[in-house]
Amino acid sequence: MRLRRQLILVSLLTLSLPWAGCQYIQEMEAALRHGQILALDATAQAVAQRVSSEPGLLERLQSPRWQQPASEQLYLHPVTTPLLLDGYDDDWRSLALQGVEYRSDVNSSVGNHPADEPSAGVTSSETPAAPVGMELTLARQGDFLWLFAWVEDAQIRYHNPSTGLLGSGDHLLLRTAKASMVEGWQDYVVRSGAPGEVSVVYRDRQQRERQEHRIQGVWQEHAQGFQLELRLPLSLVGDRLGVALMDAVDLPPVPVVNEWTLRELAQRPTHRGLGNIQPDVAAPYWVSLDDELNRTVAVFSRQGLKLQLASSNQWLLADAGVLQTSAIRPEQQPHGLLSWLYRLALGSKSFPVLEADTATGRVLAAESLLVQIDDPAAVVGGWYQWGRKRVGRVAEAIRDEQGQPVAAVVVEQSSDNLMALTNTAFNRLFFYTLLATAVAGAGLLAYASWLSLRIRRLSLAATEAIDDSGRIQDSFPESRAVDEVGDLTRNYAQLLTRLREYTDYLRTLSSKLSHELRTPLAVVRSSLDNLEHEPLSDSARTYARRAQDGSARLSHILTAMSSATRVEEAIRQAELERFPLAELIKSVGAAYGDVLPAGQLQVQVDASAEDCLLLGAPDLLVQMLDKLVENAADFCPPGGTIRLGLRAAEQHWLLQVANDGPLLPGRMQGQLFDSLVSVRDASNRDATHLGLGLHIVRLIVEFHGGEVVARNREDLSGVVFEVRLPKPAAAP
Amino acid sequence: MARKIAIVEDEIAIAHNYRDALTRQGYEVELYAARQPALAAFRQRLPDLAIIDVGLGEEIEGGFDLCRELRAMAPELPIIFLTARDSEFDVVSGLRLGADDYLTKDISQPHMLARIVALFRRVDALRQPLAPQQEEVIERGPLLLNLDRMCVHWQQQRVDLTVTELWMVHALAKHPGHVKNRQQLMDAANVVLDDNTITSHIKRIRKKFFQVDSQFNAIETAYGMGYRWLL
Repeated sequence: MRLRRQLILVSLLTLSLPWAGCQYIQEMEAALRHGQILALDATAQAVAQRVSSEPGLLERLQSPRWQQPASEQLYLHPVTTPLLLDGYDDDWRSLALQGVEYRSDVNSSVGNHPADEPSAGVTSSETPAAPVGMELTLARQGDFLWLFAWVEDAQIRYHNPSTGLLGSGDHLLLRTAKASMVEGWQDYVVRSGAPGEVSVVYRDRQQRERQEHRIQGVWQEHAQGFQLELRLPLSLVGDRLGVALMDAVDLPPVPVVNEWTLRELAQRPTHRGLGNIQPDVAAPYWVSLDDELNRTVAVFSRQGLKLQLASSNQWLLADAGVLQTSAIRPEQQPHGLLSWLYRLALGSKSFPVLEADTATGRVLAAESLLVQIDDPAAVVGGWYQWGRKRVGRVAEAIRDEQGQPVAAVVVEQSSDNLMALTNTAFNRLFFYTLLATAVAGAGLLAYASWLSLRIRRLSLAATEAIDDSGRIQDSFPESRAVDEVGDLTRNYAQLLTRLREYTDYLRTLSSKLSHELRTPLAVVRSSLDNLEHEPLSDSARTYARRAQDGSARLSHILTAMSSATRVEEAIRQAELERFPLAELIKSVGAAYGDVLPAGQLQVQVDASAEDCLLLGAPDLLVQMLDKLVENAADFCPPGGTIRLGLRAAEQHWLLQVANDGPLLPGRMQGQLFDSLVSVRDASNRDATHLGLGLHIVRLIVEFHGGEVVARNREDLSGVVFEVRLPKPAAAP
Repeated sequence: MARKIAIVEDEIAIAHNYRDALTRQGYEVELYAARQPALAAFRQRLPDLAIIDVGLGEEIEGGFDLCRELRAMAPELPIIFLTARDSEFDVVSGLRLGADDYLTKDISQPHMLARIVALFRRVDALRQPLAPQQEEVIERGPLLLNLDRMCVHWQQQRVDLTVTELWMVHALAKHPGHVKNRQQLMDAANVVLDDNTITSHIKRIRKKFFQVDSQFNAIETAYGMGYRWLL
């Protein structure tokens, strides 16, 4: 992998910056959330303590009203807006109150009749009546109780006065308990002979049918049945309220009996009851917001904080404050990408969805239940998803003197502020880290490019430091930078300088050596010369002669050793002249032909090179050819041929000396032209080869600005030495 | 009267060997190991021939200095450099200082003796002209080469050649048109040299003739073979 790519990969590590930021934001958000929960809990505790410290309030909470099963009780929604008693629910709908729904199967009724009870009616069992349903909504406005009953009844039967019953048709039964009544209850029958105003009747203690005018109501029909709107003063209701729909299944088959009691009425098989009235039992307590508790709790409410007081049977006792709902909703995903990133980055935990308030009067928050069971020290709270917002909810128990929970305070607060905070933080973080990542990335990239440029430059310089012929270049670009790359460059330059010095030393070694050896050789030779003039025995003379021969050979070797130096000197003093290369090749070839065995040398001068004029030193070139041909002749097997060829290439004159000799060993090819390098067989002792011949060839070729390569023929039939001499730019 | 030869050589063994060889030939030989004693002796009395090593003990180029001083004292005195240093630069420097020849130390004794004899012959010829009929003279066009006097004239002008160079010219001019290869030239000049030294000798010879005649082109290179003298 290239250095630059590696650094780009490394620069990706800066992406951990936004990640860390997101982690931080998450941590922060969690901490804030926790803090908010604690704050809410503190509020809840304050409310709880405030309530429990007041005996009056505590007493209210301990009243039996809050101990009954909630499902039997009716909840009176406190209403402030005026209602119109017209039998229509338009004004009710605007209040968005949730009523209680009662629905009956065919045979079920409030008065749980035994199946085998002797029944006067026959029709009811023969024709099953259509199911009926009632939705009951109750409200409390000032001292009045309002009731709206929406009844689904396929068959409306109006009151028939001729029966003498209190309610012979479909009617509504109200069961109240006035404050004055210690025991027992009062039933009212709300009936009507036709759509319009209803008449409310009851039986007094003497079983006389009496009209109750304080209860007013309107009966209206609708497609599925009928509806009733009632208004009655709370003083008439007392603490308890039961409502039941008596649906007349059939007209009574029996004649009018005046002694019908209400108790019997409920048991009559002609009617089905639907509601919260149990036969022979007082109606359950009605429940509603407790004004006093509400006032107490309202003190603690503030913007965006919702406080609720739940009774032990989960009725809403006090309700103060609202969660901001509408303010946040309008913006529908302002930045799609940003919020997507937000969710992605912050890994938004999914919270349980909080159902919208149903206004049934029940507090169904799990916390309000939990808190009345759980360890009092624990903070009971959690977070909910409410639309796009999150809502924190905490509950705290209100305990009596014995520490028993009697009610629960539920505090809710949306995390709007929190969200805004983290949102802003995230936006900023997003921007800053994007900026930082971009800057760091760009910086790293630039730095990487710069560094890799330097290293590439160094690598290039190192590659070029030693040219194709293995010679070390004089100039190596030394960096002045003080860092490691600069050091490396300098060290490399130093290394190359040392190497160059060493190779220079090696190159001159032979001539230096020959200088040094020449003096002792002179001693030997002159001594041997003198010895010849001394009287010696024949055998001694033989030895002297051998010594003479040996020293002569040594002398030759020394001369050969310094030949490279001499060529360099000759090159320094060489004078360039323009001469026909082809003619030189031919005459040289002719000269070699005389020396070499007949037919061994073939000279081929290509027609393209016939008029070749070269600017150079012919003496040196001849010397070069001498060495090449000599070399070829040494390697050429008997019967093989040496080819001396010249032809023109695009920018060069190609001079080739080829022979059929053994191939070059692969390892030596690069160094073949170096000083003192020989690939010859060491067993060939009769000739002296110091490996200077080809070195001289290279010196001469380089002097002419050309290059020389040695390679095996492609068909491996021999070896080719190829000299490329540049054509003069201004050739005539 | 025996001729006096001074050998200035810091290598005692070589000096003694040469002394023995030269004494055997009937010369009187003086040995000097350094420049100063040699110079002092030369001031007293000049030798007939001086053989000088270039490097003399501590003085790397003491031989050159000595040659300069000696040449100043005696312009006619034959001087031979005998040295281990055979670089072109040293040869040229030595010859420029007025040495009559420049030899490397590994030259064989017979070759050196031949050179000494030739030099003495030249000196003698300068001092007392010999009878013309006795002289071995080669005349090739503008070239006049007297082997006895060891001198060359081109177009009646003297060309100042060293002994080695003169022998080479002689070998070429003796059979004009014949190619003399390097070995033949070496043999003629009584030297063992490598190709490049021959080439530079030829180059120097040409230059010396050029100084006399800028149109000189009598020595032709036969590439791959050697040189020949053109008529």
